[in-house]
Amino acid sequence: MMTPGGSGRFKPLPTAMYAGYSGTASSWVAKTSVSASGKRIQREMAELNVDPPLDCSAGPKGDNLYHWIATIIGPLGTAYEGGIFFLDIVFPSDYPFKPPKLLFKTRIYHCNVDTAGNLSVDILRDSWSPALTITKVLQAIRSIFLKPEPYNPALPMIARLYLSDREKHDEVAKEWTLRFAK
Amino acid sequence: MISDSITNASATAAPTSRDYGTKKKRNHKSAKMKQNKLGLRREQWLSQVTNKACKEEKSGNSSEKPDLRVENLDGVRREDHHHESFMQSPSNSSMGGTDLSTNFSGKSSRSSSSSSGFCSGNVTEEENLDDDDDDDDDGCVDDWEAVADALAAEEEEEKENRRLRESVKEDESVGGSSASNVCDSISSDVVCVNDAKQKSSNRAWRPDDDLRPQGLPNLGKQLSFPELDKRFSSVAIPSSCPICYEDLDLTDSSFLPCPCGFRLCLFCHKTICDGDGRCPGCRKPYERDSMKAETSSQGGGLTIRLARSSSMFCRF
Repeated sequence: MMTPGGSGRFKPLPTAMYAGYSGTASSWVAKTSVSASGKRIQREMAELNVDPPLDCSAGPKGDNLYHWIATIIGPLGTAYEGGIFFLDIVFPSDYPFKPPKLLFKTRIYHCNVDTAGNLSVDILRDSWSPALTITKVLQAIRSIFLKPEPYNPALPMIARLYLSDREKHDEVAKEWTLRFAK
Repeated sequence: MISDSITNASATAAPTSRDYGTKKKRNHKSAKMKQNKLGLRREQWLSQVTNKACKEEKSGNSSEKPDLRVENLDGVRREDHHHESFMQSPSNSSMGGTDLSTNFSGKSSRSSSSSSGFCSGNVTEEENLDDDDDDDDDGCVDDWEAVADALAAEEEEEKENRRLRESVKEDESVGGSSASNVCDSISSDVVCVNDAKQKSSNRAWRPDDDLRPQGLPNLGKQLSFPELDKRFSSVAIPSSCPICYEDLDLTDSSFLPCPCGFRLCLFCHKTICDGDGRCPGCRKPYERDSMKAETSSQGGGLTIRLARSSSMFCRF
């Protein structure tokens, strides 16, 4: 199983280093650590399949447990209604002690998502807690569709428009949803 | 008299073994051997007794309790009850004392305590042991209870004596004569008369008995162990760590690092403390001294925790 590229010390050692090296301690250490987060991620995946949050779905992209793709359907009654937004989720190897990295792959007009797709959501940064799961993270993202957080913006210009002229903001957001998310 | 009493004792021991032998195993081998030997003699004796016992039932037992009537068919069983009742109820013991002083001479009672000089002592002791076992089986009485009864009875002896004497005389008038018929074969009238009187209070203390000593505990409460059941009832502790989903072991389950009540395993706690050290449940920083305080308070958990933390070092 490939480990995510986040921290170098968990990368498998080059095979050349194993030549003539019988000690299994180092490889065992890496395996244990990976499987610790792996078990947690597998459990979250099962949990997500059993009880998926509203308008959300997520799962591993390929055979890599640490790299997921998620979709969030724009909630009804918002400017993002009807849009399907794709996100990349990368779990660090020390997940859940470090937050997963989420990235919008679909362009979205939202004050908490910058042009590169990064989110300015506090629970994915400073307010991350190991007790949070990807289900809760997706629910939090869906909630900022319903209610953006203009005081913690990724793009202050959009936040300013959202606060000053809500109708204009929603009009642009609808147009972007129609153009990029359908 | 000596030979008579031995005969009595043996005759008593034999039915005891027969009646209760199927219930439990006996430890006293000597008693067993003796009982086996005396089995034949008992058969002979029983055949003599049954006829008279039937007469007795007709004549005198109408006033007695129905459960006692059954025992009267077997005259020997009364001897057993003599012992049991002596130990069970202080009223009996006090009555025995009264009888010794007033109605009868010193040989009236066959029980071990009142007949200290009795020659059938060793046999009687075995009987008493058997009787003790029987009492245990019934869940009624123990030795300590008998002692408590006797002690409490001494205090109330004066008060009880009058009442008991009356009841004794009633019994004497009814059962005493008939019982003496039965006991002719054993040639110990006094014993049988005494036994007949003892029947009147042939039982352990009831919980609502007025004469019950205050010091006696309630056995029903003791046997149920309600607190023990409570301790093992289910508690709201997660079965697995909410962080890593590994099962919580005993140490983890008792580990409560944050006052908010968020539980996690020691591995995850250590990892978090190596990082920002904030509780996953409330996001407040862990108190750094909390772990030390807990180890000092729980001396037993210290070694386990050290072993675990050292294994954490191996892990990284």
